[in-house]
Parts: sequence; C-alpha cells; structure tokens
Amino acid sequence: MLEPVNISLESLNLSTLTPMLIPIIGALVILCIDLIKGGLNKSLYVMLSLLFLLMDFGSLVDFAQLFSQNGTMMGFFDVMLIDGLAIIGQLIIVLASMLFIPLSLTSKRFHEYAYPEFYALFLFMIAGFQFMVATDNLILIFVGLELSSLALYTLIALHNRNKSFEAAIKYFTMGALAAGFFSFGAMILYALTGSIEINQISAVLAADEYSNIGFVLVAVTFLLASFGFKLSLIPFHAWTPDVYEVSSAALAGYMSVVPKIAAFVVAMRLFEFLVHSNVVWLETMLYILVVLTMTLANIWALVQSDVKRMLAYSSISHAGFVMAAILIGTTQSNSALFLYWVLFAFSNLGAFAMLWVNRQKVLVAGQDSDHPFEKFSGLVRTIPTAAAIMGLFML
Amino acid sequence: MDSILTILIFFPAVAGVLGFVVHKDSIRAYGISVAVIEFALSLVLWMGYDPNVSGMQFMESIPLIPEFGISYLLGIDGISLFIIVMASFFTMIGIATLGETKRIKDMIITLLFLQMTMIGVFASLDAILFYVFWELSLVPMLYIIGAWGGPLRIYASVKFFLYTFTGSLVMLVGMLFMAYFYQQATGVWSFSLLEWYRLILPESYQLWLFAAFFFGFAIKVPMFPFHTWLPYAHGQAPTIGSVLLAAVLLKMGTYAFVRFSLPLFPDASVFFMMPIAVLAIIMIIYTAMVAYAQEDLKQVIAYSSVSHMGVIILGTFALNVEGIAGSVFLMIRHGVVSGALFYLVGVIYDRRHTKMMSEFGGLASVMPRYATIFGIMMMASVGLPLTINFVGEFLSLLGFYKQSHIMTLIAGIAIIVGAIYMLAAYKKVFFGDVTKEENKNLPDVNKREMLALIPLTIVAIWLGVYPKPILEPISNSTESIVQLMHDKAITQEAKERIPNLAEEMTISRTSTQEAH
Amino acid sequence: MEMYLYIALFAPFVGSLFAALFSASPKTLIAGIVPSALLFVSFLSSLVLLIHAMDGNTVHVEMMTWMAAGDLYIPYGFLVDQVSATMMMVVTIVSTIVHIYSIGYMDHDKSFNRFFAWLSAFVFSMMILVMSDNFAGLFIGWEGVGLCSWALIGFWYHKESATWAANEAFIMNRIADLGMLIGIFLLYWSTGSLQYDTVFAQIGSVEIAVVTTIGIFLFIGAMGKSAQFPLHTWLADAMEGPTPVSALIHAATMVTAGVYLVVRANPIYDLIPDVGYFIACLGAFVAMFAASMALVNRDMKRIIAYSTLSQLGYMFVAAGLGAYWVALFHLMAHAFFKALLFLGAGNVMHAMNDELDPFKMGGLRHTMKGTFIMMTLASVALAGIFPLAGFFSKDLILEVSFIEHHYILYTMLLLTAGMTAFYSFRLVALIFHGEERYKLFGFHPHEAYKYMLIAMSPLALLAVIAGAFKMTYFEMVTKVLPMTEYHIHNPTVYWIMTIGTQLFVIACILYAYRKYEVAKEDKKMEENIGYKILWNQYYIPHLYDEYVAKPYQELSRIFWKDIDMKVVDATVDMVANVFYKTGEKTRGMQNGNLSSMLQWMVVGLVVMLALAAVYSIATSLVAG
Repeated sequence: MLEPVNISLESLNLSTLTPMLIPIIGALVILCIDLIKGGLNKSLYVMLSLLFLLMDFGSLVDFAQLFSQNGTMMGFFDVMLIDGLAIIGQLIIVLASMLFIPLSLTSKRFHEYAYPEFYALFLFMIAGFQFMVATDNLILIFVGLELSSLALYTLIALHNRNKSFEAAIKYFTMGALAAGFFSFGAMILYALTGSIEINQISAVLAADEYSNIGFVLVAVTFLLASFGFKLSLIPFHAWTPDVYEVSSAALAGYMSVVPKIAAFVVAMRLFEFLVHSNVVWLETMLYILVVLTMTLANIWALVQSDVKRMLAYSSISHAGFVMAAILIGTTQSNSALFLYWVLFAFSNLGAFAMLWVNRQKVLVAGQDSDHPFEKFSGLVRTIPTAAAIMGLFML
Repeated sequence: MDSILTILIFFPAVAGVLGFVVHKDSIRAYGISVAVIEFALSLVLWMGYDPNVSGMQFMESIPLIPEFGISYLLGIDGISLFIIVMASFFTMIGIATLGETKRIKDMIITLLFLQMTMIGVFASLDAILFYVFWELSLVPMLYIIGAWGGPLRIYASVKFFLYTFTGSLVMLVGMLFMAYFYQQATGVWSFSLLEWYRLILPESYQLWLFAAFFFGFAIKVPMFPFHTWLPYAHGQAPTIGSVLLAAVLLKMGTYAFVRFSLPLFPDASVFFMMPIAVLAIIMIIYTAMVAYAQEDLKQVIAYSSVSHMGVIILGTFALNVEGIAGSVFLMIRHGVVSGALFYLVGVIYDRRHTKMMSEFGGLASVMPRYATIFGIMMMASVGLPLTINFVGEFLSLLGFYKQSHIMTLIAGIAIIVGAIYMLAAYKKVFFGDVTKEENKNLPDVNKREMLALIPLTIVAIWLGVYPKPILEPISNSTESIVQLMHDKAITQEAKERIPNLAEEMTISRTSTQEAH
Repeated sequence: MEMYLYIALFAPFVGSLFAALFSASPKTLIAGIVPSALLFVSFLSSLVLLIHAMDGNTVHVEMMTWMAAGDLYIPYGFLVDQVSATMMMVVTIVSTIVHIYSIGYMDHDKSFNRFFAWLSAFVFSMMILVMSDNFAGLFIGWEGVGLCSWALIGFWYHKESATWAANEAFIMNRIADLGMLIGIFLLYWSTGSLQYDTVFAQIGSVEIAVVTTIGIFLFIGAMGKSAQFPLHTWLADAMEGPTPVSALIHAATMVTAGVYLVVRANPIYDLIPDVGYFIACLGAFVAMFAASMALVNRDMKRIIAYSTLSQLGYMFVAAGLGAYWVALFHLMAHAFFKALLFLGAGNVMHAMNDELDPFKMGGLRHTMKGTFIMMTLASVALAGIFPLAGFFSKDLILEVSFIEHHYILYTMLLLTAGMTAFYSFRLVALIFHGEERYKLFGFHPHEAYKYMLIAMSPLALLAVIAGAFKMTYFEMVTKVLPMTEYHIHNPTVYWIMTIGTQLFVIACILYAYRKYEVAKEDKKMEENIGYKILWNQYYIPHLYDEYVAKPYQELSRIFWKDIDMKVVDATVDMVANVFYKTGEKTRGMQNGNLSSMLQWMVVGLVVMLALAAVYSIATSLVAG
C-alpha cells in the first residue's frame, strides 16, 4: 500500500516563490493590459514595471529580515534556497533593474521602449535571474538561465537595427551552445552522484573522496565553459563587444551588470566547494581564466576606437576581477565582491548612460580631439573605486 | 578651525562647480577671488598651526566604510602644512596671472578642481583617501595638458596619464596588502596611516611593500629611469600646467616617501637606501647633463627639475633629521624656484611663441627686468647661499653625508653640473648681441607678470635668508618621524643608521646645560 | 662696538641696493657716489674696529638664526678679531679706492649704475666672508663673492669672451666649492658644530685621519677661489671684466679668500703638517708656474693676473708652513700694490682705447706721468725692493722656507722672485719707456682724471710704507694666530741672504730694462719650444677645452639623444607598444564571425578538457 503522499502547503513554503512570482505576474499584467487596450503610452508600462519591481524589492527586504531571524530556508520541494547569497543577489538584481527602467522614459526616440512586450520581457528576465540565484538545484538554474536568456535575446533584437538582429542571433546561437555545455556538465554530475542539488553533489563527492576525478573534471569543464560564456570570460567572451555595440547603451550597461551578478552567484555556489576541496586543476584553470580575462580584455580595450566596445572590454576585465574573488573564495572576498559589484553597477550604468546621453558625440569619436579625455575621464571615474576594491580580491 | 582642512579641500571644488554658472567675462575675477580666499584660508591654517607640536594637527575623522576601516581622515603636520600653503599660493598666482587663454572658463574651473585634489593629497591621512585624491589629481592635469598643450599634447598627456597611473596601481596593491597585514596583526581593518604607523612588519614584508610603494612614488617624482614622461609633459603643457606640475604635483611623490615609505618601512628604507641613493645620484648628474644638451629652454628647466628632485630623494633617504628636514624644505624651494622658472619661460614664449634658445640671445639688454628676475631665480636654482635652494640642498647633502661620504661627494657634483647647464642656458638666452630682428623690441615683463614673479622672488630670497619660520615646524615634525622610525626598526643596521633622538635629546640637553 | 660692526658690514649692502635702484636707468652719477661714500663709512667703522682689536679685544655678535634642523644650528654670527679686522681693513681700503676710481673709469659706460650695484654687493659678500664666525657663514660670503665675480667678469655681456670667462670662473669655483662643502659636512659630523670656536676647541679630539680629510677638502675649496693649479685657468680669463674689477676682486680681495680660509682654519692645519707641507709645495709650484707664464705674455692684464697667481702661491707657502701671520701680512701688502698696479693698468687702457698689448705702447711716461710713477712704485714693491712693502712681506716668506729647512722651496721662491722682477719691469719698460710705438697704431693717449689719480694715491702710499707696520701688525695678529717668529740666528747668513736676494732681483730688473727698453720682436726666441709652451700657458686651457669641456658636451648630447631618447624613453614606449600591438594582433578573435566565435568557445572547452585529462592522469599516476 502506498503511503499517501501528504504535501502540506506549509512545508512547501510557497512564500519562497513570491519574489519570482511578482515580476512574472507583473509581466502578465502588462501583456493583459496591452491585449485589452493597445497603444498606451510607455510611461504607463514603465511605472507599472517599476511598481512591480518595488514590490519585489519589498518582498526581498522582508525575506532578508526573515533570514536574519531564522537562517537559511528551503522551500517548494526544497528546490528553492533562501540564504544570504540569494537574498543579496536578488536585491542587487532588482535594484539595478529599478535603476535601469526609468532610463527608458527618455525623450530620445528608442522605439523598443514603446513596445509593452519590452517591459514584459524585461520582467520575465528578472524573474529568470532570480530563479538562478535562489536555488541550488541545477535544473532550476538551467530553467532560470534559459528564461532570462531568451528574454534577453529578444530584448536585444527589439532594438530593431539590422545589426541588432545579427547580434541577437549570434548571442542566441552561442547561448544555445553554452546551454548545451551546461546540461552536459550537469548530466555528468548527476551520473556521478545521483543528485542535481549542489550541496548534495558536493557531499557525495566528498564522501568518496573524488575518486572519479576525471569525470568530475570533465563535468566541471563543461560547466565552466558555460558560465564562462555568461560571465564573458576569455575565450568565451566573443559575443560581448558585438552585442554591447548594437544594443542601446543603457541596455548594454544593464547587461554588463545584472546577468553577470546572477551568473556570479551561481558560479560561487558551484565552484566554491570545488575550490575548497583542493582540486588544484580547477584553481589553476580559474587562475588562468582570470589572468587572461583581466589582461587581454584591458589590452583590447586599449586599441578600441569605439567607446562602447571599449567599455565592453572593460566590463569583461571587471568580470575577471570578480572571478578572482571566487577563486580566493573567502567570506571576506565574497562580501568585497558584492560591495564591488554594487559600486560597479552604479559606475557602469552611469558610464553607459553617459554614453547614451552623448550618443551623437560618440558616433563621431576618433577625430575630435576631446575624445580621448572623455574616454579617460570615464575610465578614471569607473576605475578608482573599481580598482580600489579589485585589489581586495587579490588578498 | 576644526574643519578648516575640509573647507580648504572642498571650497575650491564647490567654487569650481558654481563657476559653471558664472559668465565667462567675469570668470577671471571669480577665479581670482576664490583663489585668494583659499590662499587666505591656508594662511589661517598656518597661523593656527602650533609649530611646537610635532604630531598631526587639525585632525578630522569621519568613518566612511567602517567595515574596511576606510575613513575620511585628515590632518597635517609641519611637513604637509607648507606644501598646502604653497599649493594654494601657486594656484592663486596661476589664476591671477593667467594670460589670454582660449576657453578661460574651463581652465579656471579645472584649476580649482586641481587645487582640491592637490590639497586633498597632502591633507589625507587615510591611505584610500590619499589614493583617491592622488588619482583624481591626474585628471585635471591631463585635461590641462591635453586641451591647452602644444602640438604633441595628446601623446604627452596620454603618456603622462598612463605612466603615472600604472605606477599608482602598483602602489594601491601595496596599500591593500598593508591593510591586509594590519588586519592580520590586529584583527581590524584600517587604512588610517596613524594606525599603520604602529604596525611593525617583518623585514621581508617590508621589502616587498616598500618596493610596491616605491614604484608608484618613483614614477610620480619622477626618478630615473622613470622620468621620461616629464619632459614631454612639460614640453607640451601650457605655462600654468608646467608651473603647477613642477611646483606641486611632483611633490606628491617625494612627500609620499616621507609620509609612507619611511615611517612604515624603516628597515626596508635602510635596506634600499644605497640603491636608491645610486638612482638619485644618477638622476642628479645624468639629467643635469641631459639638461645641458637641450636646445629648448623649457626642457632645460624640466630636466633641471628632475635633477633637483634627485637631491630631494637623497635627503629623504639620509634618514636623519637634517636630511629629511632638508628634503622637505627642498620640496618647498623646488616648488618656488621651478615654478618661477617655468613661469619665466612662459613669459618669453608668450612673446615669441618659441622656446628654442637659439632664437634668443642678448635679451639682457632688451628685457633687463626679465633678465634680472631670471638671474635671481637661476642663482636660486644653482643653489647660492641666501637663496632658498641652498638651505635645503645644504641640509639634504649634510644629512646624507652621515650615511655615505663618497656618495655625497658624487651627489655634490650636482652643484657643479647644475651651474654648468644653468649658466650655459642663461648665457645663450641673455648674453651676447641681439641677433634676431624679432627680439629687438620685445617688451619687458608687464605688470601682470610682475604680480606673479615678484612674490616668488621675495619668497625665494626670504626663505633663503631666514628659513626659520618654516624650517622649525618641518624640523619638529621630522623629528617625530625619525624617532618613530628608530623605534620601529628591527634590524641592527637600521637601528644604527637611524639616529635615536630621544637619546641625543638628553645628551644635547646636558651639553647645553654645561654650556650655560 | 656692535654698531660699528653692523655699519661696517651693511653699509656696502645699502650702497649696493641704492645703486641697484637705478640699475635700469641710464648713468646717474649719484649711483656711484653714494656707494663710494657708504664704503668710506664702512672703512671708518672698520678702522674703529681695528683699533679696538689692536687692544686685544674681539667683538662677537649673533644677529639671528639662519638654519636650525635637528642638532644643526647655524646663526648669522659675526666675529671681529685681529685676523678679520685686518682683512676688513684691506677690503674696505681697496674697495673704497676702487669705487672712487671707478666713477671715473666707468664714466662712459651705459651700465654705470649696474656696475656699482654689483661692486658694492661684492664688498658686502666679502665682508660676510671675512667677518662670519662660522664656516657656513663663510660659505655664504664665499659663494656671494663668486656670484658677484661672475656678474662683473661678464659685465660686458655682449662680448662672447666675457660671458664665457664669467661662466668658466663660476664653474671652476663651484668645483672647488664642492670640496669646501664636503669639508664643512665632515666638520659638522665630527665636531657637531660649525662655529669656529667650537670647532677649533674640539678638533683636537677628532681622529687625525679625519682631520687630514677635512684639511684636504677645505683646501680644495681654497684652491678654487685662489686659483691654484689645476683650477687656475679662470683667473687669467677673468681679466675680461672691467679693470677696477680685476683690481678689487681678482687681485686684492676675492682671490685671497683661499689664503684667508687656511689662515682662519689654522688650528686644523696645525694638526696636519703633512697637508700643510703639500700646500706649501703646491704654492711654490704655482708661484713659479704662474710667473713663468707671465714672462712671455703679451696681454698687460694677463701678465698682472699671472703675477697675482704667483703671489698667491707665496702666500700659500707661508700658510702651509705654519707661518699664518706671514701669509696674512703678504696678503695685505700684496693687496695694496697689486690693486695699484691694476688701477694703473686701467689708466693705460683708458688712454689706449682698451688696447692691451704692451708692444703697441711704449714711451707713455711722457703723457702719463702720474700713472707711470705709481705703476713703477707698485712694480718695485712687487719685486720686493727695500724698503717697499713687498720687501718685508715677500722676503719674510723666503726666510720662513729657509728657516724651516725647505731649501727646494726656498730655491724655487727665490727664482720666482727673480722672474717676478723681470716680468714686472718688462711690462713697465714696454709701456712707459722706449719709442712711442703707439703712434703707429693711431692712439692718442691721455692721462686719467685727476681724482682717479688722487684716489689711487693712498694705495701708492701704502705700497711704500706698509712694511713699516710689520711689528705692530705682528703683535696684533699673533693674539689669535700662532706666534712663530722667524729669525735667522746667524746674522751673517741673514745679511748674505737679504742682500743677495736684493741684488739678484735688481739684476733681473736691469735685464728686463735692457731687453725691452727697445722693444723688438725676437723671432728666434718666439720659435723656441719653451717659449711656445709658455705662450700657450702650458697648453692647459687647450687641454681643458679638448679633454674636459668638449667631451662633457658630447657626453651630454649622447645622454640626451642616445640614452634618454633612444633607450630609456624607447623602453617605456616599447612596453606600451607591446601591449598595443598584442591588442591589435589578437583583436581578430572577435571579428564578428559567428562560426569563428563558436570555434573559440569550443577551442577553449577542448583546451580545458585536455588539461583536465592531463591533470587526472597525473593525479592517478601520483596516486598509483
């Protein structure tokens, strides 16, 4: 006789889903409104999105309080994980999104902001990111990743220039490959350990003392490649300049911050136990990636004539710095990482927004004698803070 | 009085921001009044300074990021006080005597921002704050060179920026390590310099950290062989840029040596003393010879300023009160004299739009006042007694003599080679017959230029004749640094090289008692 | 007394400032008169101080602090003792006379006012030099006179040769100053002070090796100012300056500062007789070396300059042998007759439109009687004929070397005395006697202004009678200087020596007259190799130019063009370029081609997989 499976709503702890549900509901609401009455002014959508994001933010703050009382929580068939990392990651994501959305109110004509779909997709994307950071289940991570990525591809394509379609397609194709890598890696881990939850995987692996080290490494390699893509680590970065260049500056700035923080959180969950388990290879590998990313990206940034591309490279190199924090993997470095990323989010969004404001100037860049100064004063504004914190990781 | 440093730092910045709304016809008056007020404030600072206290004064502290021990910590002692006064003095003179410049509004606002960063650097006692101001100071300078410079300005400005920036990144890494070690030792993060002073590091750590700091400072100074950005920067910069660069910005490097390297790493300072002295000597003699070979008057001054920085470095690494006080004094003098010399070159550049010495000759009869002032400044630069340079040079070399006789003897060649290039340049420009038709009717220095030059001349002589008002506070503050170094030193050699003042103090006291 | 001290010191300074006020305007007579008057005041004050000092009193004041850092304390302190009072007298007398003389001499110069500003500034510096009570203060004056000398040699700055000579003088002096500075440093670190009294009190307890080093370095400083070999070339070139300058600076005062230094530092040199002996040898060498160059020179002022050099050599012999008071005495006497000689030469130059070659003169005694008499007097004094000043001072030096048993030095000095007599009277003969050759060159000589001659007359008087004060002087200065009396115990030897020397000198004078009464170009002699060497000043200036100045210039150029630009700077640029080029070369990685992008991703993956394989194999091997 089968035991009746009793699922108490209590134990499901559905409330853990609220932060993700809020933007999803918001997206649906926006779509519905559009269905009912099209052609409304974008400001409505902007405000609606902002509203939902605020609610999202509020719920997160709520969770943060809960977390500080009860500690880590699991929910929804134990796939949701609410820990400090998840909360702070989500907070940053939502906050940065809230900063971004008002930018679309600009009087400049960017037609994509006129589409209600834009806002719906945007909110879906945020929900995707939130899923990524608030779980340690590989499948859910995958779902979140795809949800956000697909939305992002479309957002880029919405910019509606020839090149943006091209870039979106490129991004999509490469993203598909990366997704393949991810699922392959996850599969191997599952095969090895019979689990898709990161902490269980690590527990199992630790229990048999990494006897199948070869397979573990293969799996990790695939995962690394896939996150390398998301984080735009060299040599998986090739999409970055193209995509940044063709998307609107504000969106580019957003892309350089938010998707990465999500990926970072996942990478932290995923790799930290490996780093701590003294898998020398991984450390070396990460080390090489970090060094490559930091130096090459900077060098390329140097030879760019387009400021946006240059900023793309600069954000690649910053990703390298952040990876360094993961490599070191101490609490200190992690908290520094978040501090850094918040500062970086501000400065980078700011820098891209500046570009956006000076859109015309940038297009004629190269001949104007003023150009290099702007380029450099921009750098200085980003770098002292960035650089200051970056060094912390090196400790 | 309590927050006078904050006011000093941010008053020009706020004024600069407000300057954007001032109409460009009245911007000059606006700039001058701001700079005069700022200078008056710095004088107030000087008046309020108690010369008998050797420690920090006018301290202000607001925690910024307590988690990492970063705070807004300001304070000055005798060493930074006068550099701050000098910075505000030069900005004032610079703005007041600005010639006809295109985009004068931008220039004045930039200068005000530059002033903020300059004063910020010298007043900061928190490493991160120091670093932020240090880096920020690059931006206005970059803008000044890049926007108002000569034909090669882009190359020069980018070179200036990248070079110094690279150096300071390395320095930053050193600072972070320092904070990390501090955290390891005490469990708390702190970037406060005063806290760092208390930390005694093992010698091997000191060596590495010293090297990291050294790299950043040495490029800024600039020390041989990192000096090549300077002639470009000077060659291309407009007069006001060169003046401020030479007078104040270069001091950041040497000041940082005194403020950071020496008290933080006494053993490493002793360890590296000789190599650095060798570099300094190369710098002194080599650049002096390079200066002699120059054809461009401004480059002569530029290289000469590198050469003199060598003496400052040497004095700093004498590691005794005489040497360090001398080198700090030399910083002031270098500011006054090099600033004035650059200004003087600017005067003829304005008239003839060339700086090549072959274009001139016989100016002494055409522009007698100009020749006189240039002559005084030249003699000050050469280090004649009773001019400001001599006091510093004498003390620096005297101090280093204690450490090494031979090195000082070689370094002393400075006074010979210095005379050679200066006199040669003076001869080429001022002596002989007026050969060029264009030079026959050059107007002598006008009132506005006099306004800048007369005070500088007075200072150059006054501080040479009676250096006590500034030498005394400097000396007092230096004593505390030297004592700190002695107490912190761990190796035997360092203990011996760095004098113990507490001991000497008692001895000299008894000896004076005996004398009475 | 303090008031007199300050008056003596600052009156020239005020005069200088006063003249400087007018420096930009055309000739103003008052700019010459006021400084001269002030100098006279200074002279009177010095006289008061001298009388005061004769009674065995000293005046010591400390005006204010100059430098104080750490243990170092240097005040502006001034000391008038017997030695400095003597020097002050010399300085103020000569400079007052030169000032007054210059009012006439510089009459037509457009930079008349500037001249007086510098000249008085020089006197002020010189007063600081002699009155300071510490080595640092001495150094102030030391450099100050150097500066004024630079400005006055290069006074006619439109002349290339003048400015060149000015720079040469300054730089040569700087070389020596470095030595002096090092000596001062060493003094400070060994005795803890720079005050004369403290230093001299403590010097005895310093290691003798250190004292030797101090002595050597201080003497190097003295060598520069007093133009001793090998730093002597500047003095002859310095004759480019106006003649009063040569009289004041390059004969009477500044160049004797080196001697003054050695005399002043006598407690140091007393401890190190070896260095003293070296100084004496160098002095004797220079005396002879310079005199030999004067034998053949054809430039009136240079001849006198070499003679100065030679006399400085005498002084160093005396100082080196420990006869400090003798050195100082000769210094004083020499100042009088040499200044006179120069001023006379100035008159001649004026008369001859700045012509310097004595071969183009001759027979001038008819038109320039006063000058003739005074120059002859001065030359006689210089030659050391009884009873003029030179006899007392110079013969004394010969005696000193004899008594101290340095017979080689004695012989050298004796020969030099002969040479001195020869070249002095060669000059006098060529200028004032013989045919009036100047007519061939179209000159119209005239005597100088009356008041110039009157101004010179005190010097002439002193050149004659200064020797009479020998004993008064001796009693006075030996209150501070070591009392060493030199008496040849055997009267026969003494008389033989004295009379012998006199006869030798007179013979030389007569020979000079005979040879140059009728000046003819002696071609045969001029082709003589010895003559050529002397004529070219032993090729030393040439040597310096060829092997010091030119290589320095070349090396500087190489440092700049080849090392600084091509090595140091190029390295920096290269580093930057490497980065840049790497960027340029590798930017192909993101060429926007989708398939290559995908390829890169796969390549990255494969490489990592390969590394993973290597690693796992490695670990399994290690484990196995």
